[in-house]
Amino acid sequence: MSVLELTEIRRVFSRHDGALDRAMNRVGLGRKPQHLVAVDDVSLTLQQGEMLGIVGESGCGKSTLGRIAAQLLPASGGTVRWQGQPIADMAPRDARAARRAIQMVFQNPYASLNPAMSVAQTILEAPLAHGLIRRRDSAAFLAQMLDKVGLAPDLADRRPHALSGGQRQRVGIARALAVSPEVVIFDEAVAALDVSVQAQILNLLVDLKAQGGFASMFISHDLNVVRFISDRIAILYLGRLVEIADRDTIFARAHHPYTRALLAEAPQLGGAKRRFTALKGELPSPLNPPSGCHFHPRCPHATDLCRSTRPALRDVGAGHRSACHYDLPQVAPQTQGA
Amino acid sequence: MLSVENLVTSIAAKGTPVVRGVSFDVQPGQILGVVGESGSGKSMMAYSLIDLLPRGIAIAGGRVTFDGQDLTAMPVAQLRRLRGDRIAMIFQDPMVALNPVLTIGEQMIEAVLAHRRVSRQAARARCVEVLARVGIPSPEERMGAYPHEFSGGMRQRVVIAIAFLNDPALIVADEATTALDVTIQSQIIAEIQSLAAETGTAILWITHDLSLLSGFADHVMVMYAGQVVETAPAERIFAAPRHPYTAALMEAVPVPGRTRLANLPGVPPALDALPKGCAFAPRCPRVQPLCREQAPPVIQGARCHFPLEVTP
Repeated sequence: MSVLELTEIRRVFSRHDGALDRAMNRVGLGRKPQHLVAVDDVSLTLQQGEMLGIVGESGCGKSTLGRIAAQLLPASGGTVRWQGQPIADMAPRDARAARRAIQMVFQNPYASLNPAMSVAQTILEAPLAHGLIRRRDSAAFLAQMLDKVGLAPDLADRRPHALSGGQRQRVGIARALAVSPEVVIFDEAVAALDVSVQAQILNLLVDLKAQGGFASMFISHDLNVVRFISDRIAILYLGRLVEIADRDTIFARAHHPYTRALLAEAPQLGGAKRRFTALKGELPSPLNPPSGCHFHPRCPHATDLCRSTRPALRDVGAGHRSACHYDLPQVAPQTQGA
Repeated sequence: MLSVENLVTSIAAKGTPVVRGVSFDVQPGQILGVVGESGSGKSMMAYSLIDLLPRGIAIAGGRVTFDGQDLTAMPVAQLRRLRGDRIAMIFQDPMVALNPVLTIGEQMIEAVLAHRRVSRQAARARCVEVLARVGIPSPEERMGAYPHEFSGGMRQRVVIAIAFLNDPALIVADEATTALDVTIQSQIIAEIQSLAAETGTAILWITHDLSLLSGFADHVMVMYAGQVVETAPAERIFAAPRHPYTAALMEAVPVPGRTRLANLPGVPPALDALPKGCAFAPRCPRVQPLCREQAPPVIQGARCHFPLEVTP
């Protein structure tokens, strides 16, 4: 069953498009408005209990999509459905409940924690405000949450500056879990951590996932991390969903040439020493994306059709969808070093 | 070509060492990867080599020999002539390395003229050539552009072009591709690889990313708490790490098929409160009583009392 459903989500950021610019434009003096399509008709569903990895490079819209899903940012178009109901059409009370049920964990645990609040205050604030726990139960609840994320009880009175990076991120996770969410959106939640600390947090997420209780979106630029943690993986490029499939399918039979390039370039421990041969070209500016398929200027297989027509996201196998016009032959095993 | 012997760098006011007796050599054309977590001293070690240490931190001992000269004893003016010429640097954030109010061309030509007695035209031609080499499209026109007109990847490429300008003998790169997207990172690594292979430039590549090094370093040095805990040819270290910290780091990296990562408890020690004995002992899964008492010797490249056996 799907818990969260995003349908044709679109988000446009504009600049030079304020009231003053519009008035100036009327008399021919304004700046030309610029529109950036950060998320371009993305449809996704999140199934109960699954972890969906969202992968892409900078500017692909992955964080914007996460914020829209978490109701932290309004979409310019499209619908976010919570248990089948569009959140936008809900009564305020229900919308509030939906917001509570979708929590977010951010990349920078220092910037996302209030420096003046202790660990205990940070974790207890929301459940008390939502009336999920009674004040007299809060000590027991706090102990339970700290234990759940692997924090020692004596850290409860510390403020964020007195915690290590890994401890801060555990507090961020505990804060999200404290309101019993049904969906947790992790936005680059381990990107800022050292390797050994990243491993601790990833192990924690595996444990929490095994305990069940929530579905999640795991947004990351790091394919190796996403591969480790996700059940399904969605690949974004310049605001568009280019491929989505279950994890093993992505790694065994990637369909889209961009996904294949990403897989080939991701550094891999123990990979043989090799000459790096990169995908040509830059990531295009999202302010001025290429026509047709956004990937065509960098794609070794591009044709006139790719330059003129946006490929639809189509079914290429059981639950495997890809936005490429062609069914390109699989190159021998998708490992690097070859 | 570069030889570092027992380098010690300390916070001057407190005498807290941040680099504790590091020794290594780099040969022409060699890519030496230095890997460590935050606070391991890898950046401070690199900044010590080229006298770019932050105020308050200074070299307290050891020798750094480059082309037969001791850099630690060299007058500042002479060292400055060396930097940007025979020794080039690449940092993580290209915006720090580039002057925002000068065009790329202006600062590149300046970098050539500071070290070479050539005409402006010749300097300009060299800049265009190097920009083309690192994959900047239409380099002639881009010479007139300002840093902010480039994307992040392009900017880092410009910084690398500046590093290449005077055919340096050594490039010191500190997290040079960490902020870049993976497809752009690959392009930069490809340039570095061909530079090392074609011109014999030695590369000191500092990173937190073991996976990246496994694809391109010749030799790897692992740092922990200001010391080198293991050093070995890349193939050996990735196939069979000997130091428990190296092994734990590798097991902490998500690789296909792994369902659980090494749980290295705790965090690296504070450098002003180092444990007696081995600095890694409090986190080490193989710790013995001896480790908490005595600083370990270096045995076959690993600074450990009880290194892992290398299975033949």
